[in-house]
Amino acid sequence: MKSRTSLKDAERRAFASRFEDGLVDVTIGSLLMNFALSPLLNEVLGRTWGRSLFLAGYAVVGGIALFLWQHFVQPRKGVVVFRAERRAKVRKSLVLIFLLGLVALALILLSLSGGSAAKWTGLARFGLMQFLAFCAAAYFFSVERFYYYGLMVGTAPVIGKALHDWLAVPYHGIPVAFGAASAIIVVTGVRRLARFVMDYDVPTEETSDD
Amino acid sequence: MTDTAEERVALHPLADIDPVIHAPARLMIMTYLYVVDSADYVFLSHVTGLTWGNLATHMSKLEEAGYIEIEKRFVGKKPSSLVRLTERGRQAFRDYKKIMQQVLEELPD
Repeated sequence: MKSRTSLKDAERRAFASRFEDGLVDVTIGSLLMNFALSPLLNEVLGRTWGRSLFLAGYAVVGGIALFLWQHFVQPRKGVVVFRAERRAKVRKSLVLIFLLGLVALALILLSLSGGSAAKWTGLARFGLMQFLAFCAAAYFFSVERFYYYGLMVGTAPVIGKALHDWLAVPYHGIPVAFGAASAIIVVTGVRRLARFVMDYDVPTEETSDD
Repeated sequence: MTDTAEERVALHPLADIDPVIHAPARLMIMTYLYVVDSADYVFLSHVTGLTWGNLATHMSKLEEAGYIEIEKRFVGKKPSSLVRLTERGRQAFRDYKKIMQQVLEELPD
């Protein structure tokens, strides 16, 4: 039984090593930052250009993440193909996270039409769904820091609403609350990525039997 | 008074330990290859902490024993070798695990 646990741990460690470079953090943080800045973009550029730039932002973040992966992370980290059980588990986890995201989106849209109390409740539920999505990722991918991210992102809607109602922070407090949470995630990711790039050189050799 | 091989193994299960797998570095490599489908040298070096030269030496021994197979391919323009356990290697690892469990469980505290 002990060896079974140990092999399971080895597999979990191998899988969790996919997240140690910080690229996922940078990507998630940048996507959230894009969301946080969207009200400002709408204000400065107008709705049409603001929304266009907001959507383009997602493509830009995806492109940068892909570039960083191909040129900095994968050459240092190498290639691994996990077994079918793990791949199935990842697929199920991603579906669950996606569904939680959809529920969160539905809740935020529903809350927009209600009164002040309904908005508070809607935002709290929206935050809870985001928190649960991050918790699911943390649990299934064995990445502990995602719990903390979930806590920050999950409380951001309510903090934003409180800032808006009590301190008259504009744009429902979204740029401040989500901006702060996403900035922390991006900085954590950049630090991890920088350390990863410095700690691991790109191997110049190929296999010994070439 | 010569024992047969089977009797020797029954009396001394450690005598049947596979020396190819038993070396710590190769045991690490085999463990990681056992729990994933396949991986390249860079990944294995990363997770085991072995230097490139060390890894290559141990890989050669595992390949000689028929425990791993190496698939040459390209990632972009760079050559890369994807390594996986053969069925023989997987069975050898299972046997090794079984013997070690048996030996360690029977040891007094």
